[in-house]
Amino acid sequence: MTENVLEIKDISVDFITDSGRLKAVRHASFNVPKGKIVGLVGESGCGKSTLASVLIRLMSDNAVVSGESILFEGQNLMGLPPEEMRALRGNKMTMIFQDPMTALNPVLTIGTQMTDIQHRSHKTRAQKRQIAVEMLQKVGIPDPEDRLNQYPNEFSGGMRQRICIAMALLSKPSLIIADEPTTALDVTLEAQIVHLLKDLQEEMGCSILCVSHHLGMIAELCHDVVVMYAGELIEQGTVRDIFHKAAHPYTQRLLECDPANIQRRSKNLPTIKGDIPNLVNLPRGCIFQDRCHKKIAICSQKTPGPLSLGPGHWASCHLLNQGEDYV
Amino acid sequence: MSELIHVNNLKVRFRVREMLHALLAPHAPAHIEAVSGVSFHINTGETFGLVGESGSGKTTLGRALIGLVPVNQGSIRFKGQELSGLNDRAYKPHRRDMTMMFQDPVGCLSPRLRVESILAQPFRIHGVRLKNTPEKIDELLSMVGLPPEFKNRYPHQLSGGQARRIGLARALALSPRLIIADEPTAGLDVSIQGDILNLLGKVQVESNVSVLAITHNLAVIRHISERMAIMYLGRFVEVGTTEDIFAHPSHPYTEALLAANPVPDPDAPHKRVELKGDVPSLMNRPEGCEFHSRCPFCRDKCQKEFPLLHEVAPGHHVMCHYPLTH
Repeated sequence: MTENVLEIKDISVDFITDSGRLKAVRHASFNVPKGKIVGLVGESGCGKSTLASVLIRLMSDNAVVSGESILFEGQNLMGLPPEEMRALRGNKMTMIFQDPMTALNPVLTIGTQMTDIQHRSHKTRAQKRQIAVEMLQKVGIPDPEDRLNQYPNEFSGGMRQRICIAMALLSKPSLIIADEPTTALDVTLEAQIVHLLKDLQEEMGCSILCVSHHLGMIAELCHDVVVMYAGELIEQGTVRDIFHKAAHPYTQRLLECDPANIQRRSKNLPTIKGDIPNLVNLPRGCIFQDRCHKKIAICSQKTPGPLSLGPGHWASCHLLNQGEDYV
Repeated sequence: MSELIHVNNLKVRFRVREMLHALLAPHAPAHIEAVSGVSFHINTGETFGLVGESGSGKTTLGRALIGLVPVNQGSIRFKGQELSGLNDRAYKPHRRDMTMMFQDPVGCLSPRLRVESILAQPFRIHGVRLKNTPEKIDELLSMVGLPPEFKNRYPHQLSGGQARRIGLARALALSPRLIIADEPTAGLDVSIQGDILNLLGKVQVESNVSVLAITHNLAVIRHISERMAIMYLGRFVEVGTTEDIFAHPSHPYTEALLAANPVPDPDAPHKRVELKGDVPSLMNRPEGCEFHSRCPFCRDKCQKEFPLLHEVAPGHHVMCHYPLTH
């Protein structure tokens, strides 16, 4: 059995809104094994960023988290006092944000920000600076010593994201949460950042939870993939399980729809008809039923549970149930 | 097929230094050339794709065609008439035939107007009297696949995909000859990207309108355009039919762009041509071939001599001293 850095059991997140309780994430359970990159995929509004922000406790004030446990290196984060959570955040668990422009403080030099972030370490300022220089070298920033004196606006977008990655790695965390790390970047830079993340992860042996809607990037970067739809986890497996043997109709359709997956030129591209259901008043039965092209009678009666399809691969769909009980 | 728009050696400059700065530092460039000598044409009923990374000048080129940024040099001939050098008032009638779908789907719709008023604006601006406005609005909505109830909604009540459809309906209102679609799928989920692209294709077949599709997404361009150009630092580095360019990319930059588009398959063969570094600044264009600082195949000549756009196959032009052969 591989050790897990993070084990999430039955976590739900509700947002209190004027129009009622919006059930953004429902009964989510999954693990992030040590030294692996896990991708959390889904379309906008599926709750993937909400789930990631709950793990590091950066969600908005109107969020209500309930459920069994979030075990991080054996420690339950549910109900952990804010001070202890703060000690963990930016130390054992760090985050890379979507937009490198806004993640860095514009009025402080990179050097100041990179030494400040090491405030827990008892090294001297000069030593901290040296560590920062080494880390910038590692992420491929030329002349790091001089560049430490520059401000974020003097760097290009790709460079800024490299700096953010360097900062996330400074404390040698056991888990990095990367929320759409390449969305704000151009394709050629995206390729660079994906390779950088992959190389650094191998070198430092940390785990990464990568939240993204970009299937191509997930396929290239991740070992395991969790697919989310409208607040529920609907399928999980290794990257090959998901991209080659997708079992849930949503995952299958999502892969079919990606224009990058259609090699033959077409003027009639596949789409998933319909909209995401209202998360305040949830429909009875399967969450995907309204948009599913394989819908059967039971779909509107009963919510499907996760069905095991092989080691580490499961999906929640009635069509896969051939008589056996739900796991 | 007849030519609808012909652009020749178009240049758009932006001033980057104020007068005082220019006096204090006379050697620093006072302008950047966002579009730097671009020539192409679009035929009637055709989709021309414009691909490039951010800062390559693709949006500026689109905006220059429709007269939203002034052109400094070169010509734009639209339906046989010269447009460059026209003032705003003289440009206005041409914007009936040339409309734009903007990049930000919600931001380009006035938040204080209902969909109904938004769609009536083009007629009001161009002084077109309609016999039956509500009927026309319903017709426009049905063209983009939305029910008539949508006319009472405000932009904030629309999803990204629906806002994009309203943007298209507005662009179609005056039955234009050319639609400039700036990032038509940006910000949309993959499951509905196809929706907008199919719709654009359908409209095109019905009304024989030409489309200039501006995007950074090669996967999208492949499906909608007949011909395409790759832009880098304000210049076309490769122009040709979409089929040719995808099958035989000749410029190393095109090759890198194609390779950088990750295929959603973990076992896809890696034909990665990874580019070094970032896009150079327009303030400080590299000597010789402007791509040489990032090119994996750079040779001596590339650092000294500026390559000219030349034909490598019929209708396929490339700006490279050593075009790739396949």
